[in-house]
Amino acid sequence: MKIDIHVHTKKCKGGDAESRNIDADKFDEIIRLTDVKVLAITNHNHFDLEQYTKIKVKSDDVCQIWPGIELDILEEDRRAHLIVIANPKNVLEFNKTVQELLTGKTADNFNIPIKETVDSFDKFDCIYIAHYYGKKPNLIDEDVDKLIGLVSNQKRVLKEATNSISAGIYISHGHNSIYGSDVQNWNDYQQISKNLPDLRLPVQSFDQFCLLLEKDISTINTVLDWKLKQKIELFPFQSNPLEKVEINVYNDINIIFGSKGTGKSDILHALSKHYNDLGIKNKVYQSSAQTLENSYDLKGNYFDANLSEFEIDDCFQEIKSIRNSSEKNVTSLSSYSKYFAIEQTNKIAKKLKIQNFTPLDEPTSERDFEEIALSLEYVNEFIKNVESDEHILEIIGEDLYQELNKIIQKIVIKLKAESEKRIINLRSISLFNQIINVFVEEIAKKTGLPQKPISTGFSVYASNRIRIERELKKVLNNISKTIQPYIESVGNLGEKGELFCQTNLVIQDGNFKNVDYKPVKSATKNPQRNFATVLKQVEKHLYASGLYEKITELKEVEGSDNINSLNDLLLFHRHFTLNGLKYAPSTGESSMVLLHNELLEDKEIYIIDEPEKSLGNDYISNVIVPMLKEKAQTGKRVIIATHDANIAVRTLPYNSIYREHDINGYYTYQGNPFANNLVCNDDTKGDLDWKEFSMKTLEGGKEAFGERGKIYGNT
Amino acid sequence: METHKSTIKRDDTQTNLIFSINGNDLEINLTEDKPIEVKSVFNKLLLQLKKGEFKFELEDDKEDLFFHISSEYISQLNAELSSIYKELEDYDLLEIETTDEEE
Repeated sequence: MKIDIHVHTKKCKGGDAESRNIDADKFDEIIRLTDVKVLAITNHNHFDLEQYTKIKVKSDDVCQIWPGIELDILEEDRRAHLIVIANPKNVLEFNKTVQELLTGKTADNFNIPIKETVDSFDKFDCIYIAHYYGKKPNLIDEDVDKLIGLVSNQKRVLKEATNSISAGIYISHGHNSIYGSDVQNWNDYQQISKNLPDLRLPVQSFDQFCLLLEKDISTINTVLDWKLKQKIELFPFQSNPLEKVEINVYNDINIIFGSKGTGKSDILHALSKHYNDLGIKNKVYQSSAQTLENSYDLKGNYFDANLSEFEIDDCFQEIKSIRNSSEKNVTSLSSYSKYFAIEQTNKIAKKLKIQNFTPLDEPTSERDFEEIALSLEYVNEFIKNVESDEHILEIIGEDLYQELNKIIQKIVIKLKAESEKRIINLRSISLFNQIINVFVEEIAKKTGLPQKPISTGFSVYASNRIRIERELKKVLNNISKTIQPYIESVGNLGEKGELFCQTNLVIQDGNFKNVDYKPVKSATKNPQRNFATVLKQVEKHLYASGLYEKITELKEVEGSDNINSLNDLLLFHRHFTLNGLKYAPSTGESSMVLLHNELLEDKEIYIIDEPEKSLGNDYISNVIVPMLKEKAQTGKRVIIATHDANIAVRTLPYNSIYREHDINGYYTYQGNPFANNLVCNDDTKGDLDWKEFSMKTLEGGKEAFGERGKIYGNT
Repeated sequence: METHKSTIKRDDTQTNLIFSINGNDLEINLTEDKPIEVKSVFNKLLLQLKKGEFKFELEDDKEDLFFHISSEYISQLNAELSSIYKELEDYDLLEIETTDEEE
């Protein structure tokens, strides 16, 4: 939530830019594009109640508008500007006073001394913001002191800086400071607004803002009460199991800080256990405890893959069948010679012409039947699926459902009729062939003569080879398939680009060689390669006499016992890539990405131990701190143990838990930056100054406090 | 469907059934059981079958034992060639090139 305490809506003085003029509609349009939720209209020596009211009415749902004025102060020939912002409840009286003061004057020639200013406006519950130091024309310290001495509440006097850096410096030196846009051109306002100060606490009124200025602890608690607070009792220390630590956890950022060895990590682990016991799944994130390589299982210790995931057949049945296949015998020529060498003398046998019939083509008929049986199976499966899916009826309605049923039934009847025809054909052929066989056998038995061969054996022999060819073709076709690498985003390495984790999968085809690749399954690399090589050689011998020698070779490939399907020929290699090239991230980059990913996960609770480890200040400030603030805004519980002031201060924590150790033992203090104190849990020690101890304990404290000023606008 | 010539070659020591396909002669010994040779001929027939359907017709003028054997053998073989051609057709295996045909 951003605040702008210095807004011009009109060109009032001769030197004012025309571009300061804005109407309520345009104002509303621009403000809606920003994150500014509080604006004080502070035109030069001028207050336009009508414009104020229009703007307020128009933009009431998006921001608060406070009435104010930027006065020309004349104090002992010193000219300066002072912003006076009145409580909006008093706007009518404020307006009346402004109009009275300006009677007979223009914005250009009006000026007023400090005392008269206070006398005129202090009754309207005002905030005074003096142009200070670099903000010209400024009140000198003497004039500011005079102002502070005259106003009823000295905490209502702030010093206006030119920007966030100046404000940070003033605040770090104990000056209450804030700054505003002093807008010159409304066309630039959307951009300018990005640099306006952030109000950490979502104030909903002028009064609340004033209470914040007061830094009254109860006021702060009132605001904090908007957030949920949970008091948790922990016994985190194995060395002293009876030592109890009671802490509050807000659904915001909770910082645990203190010197090393004060048990911060133990508290985090105890908190993690506490929430896990409650069923709120979480873990303590420790960047030192894990590496990116392990997180992404680069070695593939837990990696598994199956070809079915890539719509590739694993050919289990085919490989099994090829391995188990054996040569079919052909009919010996001597059986023909024997039969024809002996004249058939039995008269009855001679009359049985059936023995001379040629068997009919049974395999073709069998395939015809299997074809129709498969079609019928598909249709039956479809019917089953339709019947089991209750949504279909619901969606398509009774009429359409019945129509579908009728059509399907017609299809089933047709298919059954065809199926019946084909099975009759198959069985007839089968019976006919059996009859020939039986007669041939019986005639041989009864006559004592050699049996007539009924087949050369070619069809059985050829069918067997055809089956092997079909199976092998399928296996080799699937082996040759390419699997697209699986690429997942790992995280952003800033200017370097986005880091990805790429998993490459290949099926060993006998030619693949790459030392980086490892088998996915239990089969090792050499047997994989040798098996695939011999498999390819089998193809070359499909219609050669050496076929079964090759199949025997396949069965005897050393270590191929574990190869039962193409899944066992899978190889993988997982690595990181940056800009399409293989990349090995540094320790710092790994930490960046891991922490970033931890925060990208959508969780209720984030428990993070020293996130700053191995990370640069820029990354913490520019990436991590905004992410943590975002978590806080969405009401997540973020508990961080840190030594880093960027995190402890710039994340604007609702809760700071300070762990201290002295000769008498350990102490836990709790407080927050708004109250600027840390209260000892067991009251054995006095309150500590939050700012002082933060600066003293945290690394980079002073720099961070410069930043803090713009956020709280108060110290 | 093509029809190839089949003949019987009678020698003093052995008699062979010859299948002539496109200038190449495939021989099956009718006087001695040599299943490996028969299988070799079958392999070649199978490869030929992939290129198109065919059958054999016996050309022989002696009605001796070898004629009867060959006549019956060719009759059965023709039926089986037809059946296997259909199978190759059904499985889309026609015109498949193999690289290492048996000599």
